[in-house]
Amino acid sequence: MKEYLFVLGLNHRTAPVEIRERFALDGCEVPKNGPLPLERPLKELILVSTCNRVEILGVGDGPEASDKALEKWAESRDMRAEELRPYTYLYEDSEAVRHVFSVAASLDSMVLGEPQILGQIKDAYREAVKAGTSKVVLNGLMHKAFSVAKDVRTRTEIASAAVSISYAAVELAKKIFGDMSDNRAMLIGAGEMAELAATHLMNAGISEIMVANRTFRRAEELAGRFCGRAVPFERLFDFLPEADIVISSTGATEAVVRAKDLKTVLKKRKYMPMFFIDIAVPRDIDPDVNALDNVYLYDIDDLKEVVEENIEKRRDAADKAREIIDRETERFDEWLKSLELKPTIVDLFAKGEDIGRKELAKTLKRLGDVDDETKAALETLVESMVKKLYREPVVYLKRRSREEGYSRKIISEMRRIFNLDRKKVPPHAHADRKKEHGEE
Amino acid sequence: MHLFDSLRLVIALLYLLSSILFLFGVRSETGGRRKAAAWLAAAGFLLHTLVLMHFLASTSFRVLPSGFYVRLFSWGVIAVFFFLWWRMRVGYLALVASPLALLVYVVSMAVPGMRAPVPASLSGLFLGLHIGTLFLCFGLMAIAFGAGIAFLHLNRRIKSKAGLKGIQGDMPALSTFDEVNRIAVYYGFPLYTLGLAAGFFRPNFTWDRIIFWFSLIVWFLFAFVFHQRLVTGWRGRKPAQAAIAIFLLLCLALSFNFVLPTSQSFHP
Repeated sequence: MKEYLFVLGLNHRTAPVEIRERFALDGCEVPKNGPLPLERPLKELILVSTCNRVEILGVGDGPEASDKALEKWAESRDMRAEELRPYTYLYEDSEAVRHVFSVAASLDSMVLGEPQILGQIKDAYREAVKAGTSKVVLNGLMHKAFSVAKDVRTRTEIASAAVSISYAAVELAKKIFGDMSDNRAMLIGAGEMAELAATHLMNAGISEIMVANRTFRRAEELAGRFCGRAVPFERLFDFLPEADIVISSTGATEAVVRAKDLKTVLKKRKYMPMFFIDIAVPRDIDPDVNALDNVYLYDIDDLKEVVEENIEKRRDAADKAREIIDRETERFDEWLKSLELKPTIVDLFAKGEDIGRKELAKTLKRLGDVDDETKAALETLVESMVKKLYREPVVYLKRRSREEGYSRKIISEMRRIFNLDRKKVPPHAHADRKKEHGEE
Repeated sequence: MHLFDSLRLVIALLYLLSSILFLFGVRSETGGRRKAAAWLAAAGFLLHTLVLMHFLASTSFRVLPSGFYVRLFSWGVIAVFFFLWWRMRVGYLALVASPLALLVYVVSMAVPGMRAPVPASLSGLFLGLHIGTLFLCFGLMAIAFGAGIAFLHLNRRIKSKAGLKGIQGDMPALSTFDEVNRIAVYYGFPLYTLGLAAGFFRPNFTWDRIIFWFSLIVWFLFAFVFHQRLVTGWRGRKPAQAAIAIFLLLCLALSFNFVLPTSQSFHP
């Protein structure tokens, strides 16, 4: 019987944050005695829980497995299944496979192409393996999902471009400076977005962050957060020559840095490049500075444009990614079907070998005293005949099982033809058909 | 066909395959094609070096064919490319180095087999210094030319906020191209000076050749760029433009040997 594969879950599209919080699951809840026990009809289980989604990946004997999972999930949060159901989605078999691949490849994420989800799925899988709740089917599914996600990331541009303003600014800085380990950044003003950009800069390996703010205490506070240096706002131009990247976000109504002031700064810097990121409205940096050699200026609108282009690029990439996922879903489905065939093929050969062994024993008994060489030759002959005899039926079984809806039927026929279940055929079996054909 | 003609064809073929693979591998994530392209270029370079060494070992240096100088130029480009790759890991320069080396090499095979007598005064150490240093400088400036074009293009895209699409997004940073330019100027100018000096200060040197005055003008321009980079910290657009100009002028100077009477003239 084919395994019933399902994904039951809720995410940022189906449930508000308070529901997601309430029903969040921990990978540690998988073990057999936890709130989601691995008991019939559930055969395999993986729990994925992130801030934007909670999903149960399961394998069971039939649709009752997903009902059971929903019931247990609700129960673990002192709710009834009916209360939880409206927020959930359920994907079964091929659709479940497609969904898992899409999630791993970050096509289902709030920010298309974000990289964290794959790590979170890997963590969830690791927990399930540790708890022994991921077995043949989910192991196969997870390994395939990881390779599909890698394929999507390398063969499409799904994750190639920044889709947040602060990250886009850092990506641009990399295009100017390359390795940023020798570069320093200065924050003029201590706004939230500047802080976010500074975090990205630190992650990109910048050597130091200076903070200049009208309120020195706030500058010190922010600088402390990045192990940086607070500098007095009034002496901004004394420290500016040290900065390669300047992120400005003050509330000033007039330009804080003008092109004419910058000429002296550049000379002191020996014309090393400077990148200004002006996220203030009204703008802090005189737009004319962009006309100076080795000075690059991006304001909030420029960065928004970059981000919009990048989002568009990711959307295009997502279409290509879906093609990869469709192809891989089909392949995985075939693998699942082959799992379904396995017991029948094993039984078929086992029966053949059993018959062969019995017949060989009879023959050897009849022949009497036979030397070892002849005995070995006869054994090889029997083995080879069994293999050759059953090769064609197995090929036929595999071919027909790929046809939609035929898998179960063809397995059942094969089991009946070769009587693999060793059922006794009653004397009046098929009597109705015999009558129909006018047989006595 | 002579063995060396066949080897030259093999070298050209290796450079051609390497150029094609670099071009098609430039955006691939796995880097397999780029790696194969680098190996092909390295094989071409090794064979090229062996053929040049064999030629230098077997010749008396009294008469040199025109193709020799052009082939030396091609060799210099690849030599500098591998040097910079080793120093900075800038594979993108292969997009300039490989096709340029191929082009120059093919030109060397296509130029008529004219042979020019080397002046007696320009022999031994003088010839080695004059030719070797100048062609290494040509190689450096060829790479600086490519890096300069890439810098100017990327700089314009970033300044104008036009976005970095396709291959532009994968290109190295502006600072990398500027660093290539800096290395080329830092090593190129002393080599050029030495090469010119070896040519000028040999016995029986005559001052009445146009190539002398032209080379001197290029030297002054080169010296200015070298000074500006070293002393005032020139960076970015201006040195990139200067490197492009210097390379084109060097090519022009080299071509004088084919059209004007010079000490190594192939002018009929």
